[in-house]
Formats: sequence, C-alpha cells, structure tokens
Amino acid sequence: MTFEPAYPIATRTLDNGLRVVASPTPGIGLVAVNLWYDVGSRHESPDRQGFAHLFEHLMFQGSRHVEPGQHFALVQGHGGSLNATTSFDRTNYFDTVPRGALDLVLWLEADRMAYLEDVLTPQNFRTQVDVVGAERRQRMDNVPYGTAFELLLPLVFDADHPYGHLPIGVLAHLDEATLDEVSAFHARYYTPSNAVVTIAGDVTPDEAFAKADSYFGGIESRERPKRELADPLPPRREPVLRQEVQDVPTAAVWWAARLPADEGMSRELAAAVLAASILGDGETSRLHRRLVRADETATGVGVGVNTLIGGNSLGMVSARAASSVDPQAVVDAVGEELRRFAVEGPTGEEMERARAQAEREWLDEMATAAGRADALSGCALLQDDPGLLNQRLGLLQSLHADEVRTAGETWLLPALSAELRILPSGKGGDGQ
Amino acid sequence: MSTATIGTPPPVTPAGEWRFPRPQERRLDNGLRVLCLDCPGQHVVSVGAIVDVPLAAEPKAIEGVASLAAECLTQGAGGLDAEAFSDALAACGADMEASAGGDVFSVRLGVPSPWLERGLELLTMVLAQAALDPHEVGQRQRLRLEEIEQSLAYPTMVVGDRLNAEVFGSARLARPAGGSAETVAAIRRDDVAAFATGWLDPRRTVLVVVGDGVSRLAGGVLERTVGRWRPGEPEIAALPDEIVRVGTGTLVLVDWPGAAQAVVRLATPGITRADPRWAPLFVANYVLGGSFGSRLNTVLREQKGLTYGIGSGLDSSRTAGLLAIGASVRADAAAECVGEILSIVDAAHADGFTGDEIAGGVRAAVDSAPLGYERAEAVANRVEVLLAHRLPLDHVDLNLARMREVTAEGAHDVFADVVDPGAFTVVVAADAESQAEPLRALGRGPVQVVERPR
Repeated sequence: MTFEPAYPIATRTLDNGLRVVASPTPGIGLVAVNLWYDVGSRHESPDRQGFAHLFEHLMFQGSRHVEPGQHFALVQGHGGSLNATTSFDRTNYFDTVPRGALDLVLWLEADRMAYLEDVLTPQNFRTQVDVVGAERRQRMDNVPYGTAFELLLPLVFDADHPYGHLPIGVLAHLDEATLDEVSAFHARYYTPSNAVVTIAGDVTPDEAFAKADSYFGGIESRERPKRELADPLPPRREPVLRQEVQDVPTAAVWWAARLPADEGMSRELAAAVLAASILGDGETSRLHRRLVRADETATGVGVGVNTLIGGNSLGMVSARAASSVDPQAVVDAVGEELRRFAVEGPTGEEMERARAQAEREWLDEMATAAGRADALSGCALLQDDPGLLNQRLGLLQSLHADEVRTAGETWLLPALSAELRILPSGKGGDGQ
Repeated sequence: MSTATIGTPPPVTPAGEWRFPRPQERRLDNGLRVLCLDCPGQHVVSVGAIVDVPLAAEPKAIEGVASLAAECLTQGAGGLDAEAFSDALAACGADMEASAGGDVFSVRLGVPSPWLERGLELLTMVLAQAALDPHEVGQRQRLRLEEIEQSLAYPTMVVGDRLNAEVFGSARLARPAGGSAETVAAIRRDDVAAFATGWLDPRRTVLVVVGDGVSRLAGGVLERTVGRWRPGEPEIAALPDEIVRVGTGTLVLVDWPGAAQAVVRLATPGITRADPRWAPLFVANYVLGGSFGSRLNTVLREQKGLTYGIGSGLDSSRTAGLLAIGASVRADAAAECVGEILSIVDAAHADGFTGDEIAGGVRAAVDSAPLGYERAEAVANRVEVLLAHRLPLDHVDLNLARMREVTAEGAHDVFADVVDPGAFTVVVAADAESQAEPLRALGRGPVQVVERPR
C-alpha cells in the first residue's frame, strides 16, 4: 500500500539572494520558520574544530535590537518553541509559533542574520565557551560510550577530512578562539545568499513571501561562499581497528563506512539506506535476530546512515555485547550477517517491511509544521530543490531488491574494515 | 548607523481560542470504553489501550513483573510467534509498545491511517491472546537484568533512583518501576501470565484512538477487532490508592570518583495535577526553571556557564506530586550549584515573581497548546495522563482557563504555600573528595556519603 500525501511547495528568491520556501497548511493555527545556513563542521579550519557550533550558541546572545536571552524569552513567552542545531553540513535555526507571532520570529531571525556582532562581549563569549564545554561533558564525557562516535570518525575518514571530526569539536580550540573570528565567521557565512528560510504552516505563500521580504529584504547582499566539497572516497579496504578501555558496563563495538554522497535522488544512497534498515533497524532486522535473539551475545544492535553532501555519506553499525560475552563473538556474527546480505540480498518480505517502515518514518516527520519546514529547508539548501521532498517515497518504492543487495555489498560490507571496540575497565577498576 | 531591520519587535496578534479535541465516546459490548479524537492532518494514528492497574498491584517480591509482562506481550500473540508478530507489525508500518506506569498499564500502537484496522487486529491479539512463551519470557528477563546492571553506569539514572528512594519512603514510587535485580530475577513465567490474565480486561480498559478522521471509523471496525476481546472471570475490583507520604530534607552524595561532571537533583513535595492550585504553581515553575529564560537557567547557564541547561518541573502521579530540579554541572561546582539553586528558590518563596514574568508564563502556557497538541501522539498521551489521574476529559480546557487567571500575587501565594525550601531532598553524584566538604558547608544538615553502586 502506498500512501503519499504531497505537500504544497512554493519558492521565491529575494533580491539579496535569500531563498524562501513556503508550504501552507491552512487552519492549523501554527507557523514554523526554519533557517538552514550553508555552514557546518565540515567548513571549519583544522585548528578551530567546534567553531560552527559555538557560533550557533552565540546567535542566542542577542543582536543589534535584541537583548541577550530575549530571543528565547519572546518566542517561548508567546507559546512557541525554538532551538538550533549544528551538523556536519549545515547550521539550523528553528521556531514554531502561533500564527500571530510569525512577524516576531521573522524579525528576530532577520536581526541576527544582519547584525550579530554589535552586542557580543568578551564575557558572554567566554561563558558560551563554558556552556559548550558543559554540553560536551553532559552528552559525551559523562556518559558510558559517549565518545564512541568521535573515536570512530577518524577511522573511516582521515582526521583531517572535513568529516573526520564531530561538530562538538575540541574544547582547547574554542578556548583559543577570539571575538574577531566570530565577526569574520558571521560576515562570511551568515549572508542571505548562503541561507534558506522555510515558512510552513498557517500562512499563504504570498503572505510568507511578502513578510520574508519585509524583514529580510533589506539585509545587505554579500557574496555567497563558494561550495567546496571533498572528492568522493571509495569504500575503505585496508582494515583499521582501534581498541579503548573505558569505564563502561560491557564491551561494545562500532563500525563505520563511507557511503555515496547525498545528491538528492541518488538511487545508490537510497538503496544503502534500505539495506541499513533491513540489517539493523528494529526487532525485525537481521542483526537483532541473530545477535540479540538467536545467539544472545548482544543486548542491542543498530545500523544507521547519516546522509551528507561532501563527497561521502556515513554509515554506522553498532553492537553492545551482553555481559561476560567475548566481543569477538559479536564481531564474528556481525561480519557473517553483513557478508550473507551481500551475497543473498533482501527477501521480498524484507523489502516490503523496509518500505513500509520508511513510509511510516516519513509520515512521522511530516506530522508537524516544524518537521515539514526542516525537511524542505534541507532539500532547498543542500540540493537546491525543495520539490525533492515529495519524491522521496517514490524513490524508495522504485528500488529493486538487487540494487539493495548491491548497496549492501559495495557500501555497507566495507564497514567491517573500520572497527572500534570499547572494553570495560573492570568493576572497581580505574577506567580512563 | 543605517539599519536594515526595524528596531522594535513587531506586535503579536493574540492567538484565537483553542480547545482540546472533543472525544467521541462509545462502550462496546465487552465493556471496553472507546474514545475517538479527530486530529486533521495526522496520518499516523495513535492508539492507546489504557488499563486501570497501578504498579502498587505487583506482589512486592516480584516487583518488575508488570514491566516484564509489558515487554513480553508483543513477543508473539494470536497464534503468531515473536518473529512473525513483529514482522506483521512492521509490514504495516506500525509499532507497538507496552509499559507499566505508576498509575496505569498501557499498550500503545502507532500506525499509518490506511492500516488502522490491521493495527487494531494486532493490538487485539496482544490484549486477548498474548503467547507469553516461556523462552521469550526468559530472554526478556535476561535482557531486563542486563539493563538494570548497565543502568548503574549512568549517573543520572543512579541519582534519579536514589532520589525516589529518599523521597517516597515505603511507597511503590520509591522503588524502580521495572523492579530491582533481585525482584526481577525472582519472576517466573507463570507470574507474568498471572499478571497479564489477571489485570488485562476490557472492563478496566479505555481505548484511545487519535488521528485524521478517526471519529468516522468505518462501521464495525472496532467490533471486528477490540470488540472480540473477551472479559475475564471474575472481574477484579479496583485497588485503593496507596497513601504516599513524601519524605523531606536528606542530602545524599553518591561518590563518583573521577566524574567528568556532577549530577544534581533536588525534590520537594508538590501537588498532583488534580489540585486546583496546579495552574498557578505551573506558571510559577515556568519562571523558576520551566523555560530557557527561567531564573535557574539564566543564572547557572547564561551567567555562570556551569551547566548546559537546568530545568525544574512539576512531577505528578495520581497519588503524589513533587517539584523537582535537575542538572549536570561542572564537576568541581556541585555544592556551589546546589547552594545557588536553593537560594533562587528561597528568593522566589520570599519575594515572589514580577508581573511581567507571570504574564509571560501565562501566555507561554496558554498559547503553546496548539503546538503542544499538534501530533496525534501528544493528544493520546495527554488523554492517558488524564485517565491515570482520573480527571475528566475537559480538564485540559479547564486547566487552560485557570492558567489565564493566574496573577503574580496568586502564583506567589501558591508557591509560598506549597513549596517548602527547607524540605528539599538533594542527591548529588560527584567526586566526594572534592565535593563532600563544600556540601556540608551549605549548612543543610548531615551529608550522607554513599559509594557508587557497581
């Protein structure tokens, strides 16, 4: 069964180069405003890893007409929700509000796109460096296995590859950063032509374009930074294994693979996504059935894909060993299942289930104005085509089992070449 | 200096009146009460079977049996084994999960609307004909024991469990919802079956169906599916609610040598959601720690950079309420943060809140409703909360009306009346070598230092 509501999409580019996408849903009473800037951790210089994310924090420290903290207070104080995230390829700012607060949100976003540096002080800059340090410790350093992703990346990409480090970056680099660098970063990347704003929800496209023009239209046009993408890398062949001993409850293993870059409608990447789902998504997946159910050697397994534009996307496989299980048994079983998939490919039923699950995930993503706005910004900024949103399910439906098998063999199987093991330091021991 | 943007915030048009979706209610012949709530545009239908059985119904020696039953229900049912059943769910893009909460037991289903009838069939199999195969029960039990052991490595979980133990004394809420290693190990397959067959009964269950067009469900869909769930014999009477006394005032330091951060959590007696003072206390909490611009977050994050974020919230079950505050903070500043938190609470208790703060909190609470209930799942979850608290289904609207009436004086009166700053129980996971002494120096009585559980 195919169930695919198509969402209305209209686009306009303002004179200063800002791309505006509108997607109306009359009557819901809400509007989502979502900005993607074409800057992420892949743009950072090697001695400033983490700067794009620190910069995202500074965007909440006020701008020319907005006091520090006022952005959050105004949006939340009118019943809205807001936040921002920084990823490898982009930085994302999003607000969802009752429709009567749309002008307010556009004004707040425009003011910090136009004038950030006026109000930054050395003190609030340093405080945000501390806050980012606290964020890193809370999410990674004070959580068992929290640093696994960071340790894994340089195994699949070299450490100096744009995707060789995480957006959270290196705290020592941030300690050395200066306010001048903040101004230069804003001037370079936070230009109208380097951004997309999507306005989705209870507003007509004409209204959305007129309001976008009235708040953002006066912002000076600056040159859009040239998009530089790393060359695509072939799957990794030479094996690399890193082993760490940490204060964790049981052994766990991660693998990573270079996948095809996200080029909008890449069949190869879509096939790799379905292969990942069949291998490692949920209780019906092959790895769960083999390791958690049949062998009882693992307590959890997963395969995930991070779609990226800079030469390659990233695939990851993970397995947490049951206590007292030799992690080698886990490694062997994962290897067998990946090899078997590369030879046999998916069954017809597995294809149907993976498609149904993908359809369900898409409907979940589309269930909110914020979700629709985010997906549209992504298609518009990274692929220059918001209309791709309505073609995504069709692409998945059109894939053949043999394309999925081939993707498993070509792209996922080489994950076995980049392996990270985290072993427990032992109870009462002094893990590092 | 020329500016491309205007200098003052544009005016905000007040949001229109919003109301919680009206449920369409029916009772099927088997005694099952069904509530259907329409949510236009929500194509993943959210279904919940809410069973009126609290965790306190578990025999004490096998606590965790309700959670284990919840895990096992979806591991094979209606003649399908575990793998065939999960394949059947996945084939229609559905997921299903059961859980045992403090007040109610629930089985939740999410399913794309074209597959709703098939999803309800699978849900009926789980409710009426769960296999509870001994092999599956044993495997889930082992996984649950692993999970309990692994949770000891997470300071936030250890602190949360310890706080419940300190605060709730002998009540069921004091002990982990999923049981302890000892009680879970003591569960036998027949205990799981006895719990499931004893308590899961259409007469003590409400089925909530939320999504696009669900009030126009084709004739007979409910009768063909959940309508076939047969009641057990005899009907089990509802349990009387536990009387919960909330303990106060202890300060526990879980020694966590070398921790990268300290975890702090504080709680003091609050009120339950049914209390008419809920609305003013909710708005007061928004100002204290319930928003990014709250007093707690402004000081500890934005001014001092000690944490990535701190929040406070009103926790409520049917039988007890808490005001709880929690954060991960700089490893060497746990005591400083506890002192700062308590002095911010003291100030609110003594001096109350400004008119602007409360007006912002009221607008936030009232105007966020359409956003908070945008997803079908959020609406279904709220109905579950109302049922768990035995509140009427128009309670959301009633509560919003109360929110609109909250004033700075009213919020302060209730805050001062309910929150006793001296009654906070504090649990910290930090390196005792550096933090025990400064915690003692706060002057809040003895600091009980305990070893990190292993």
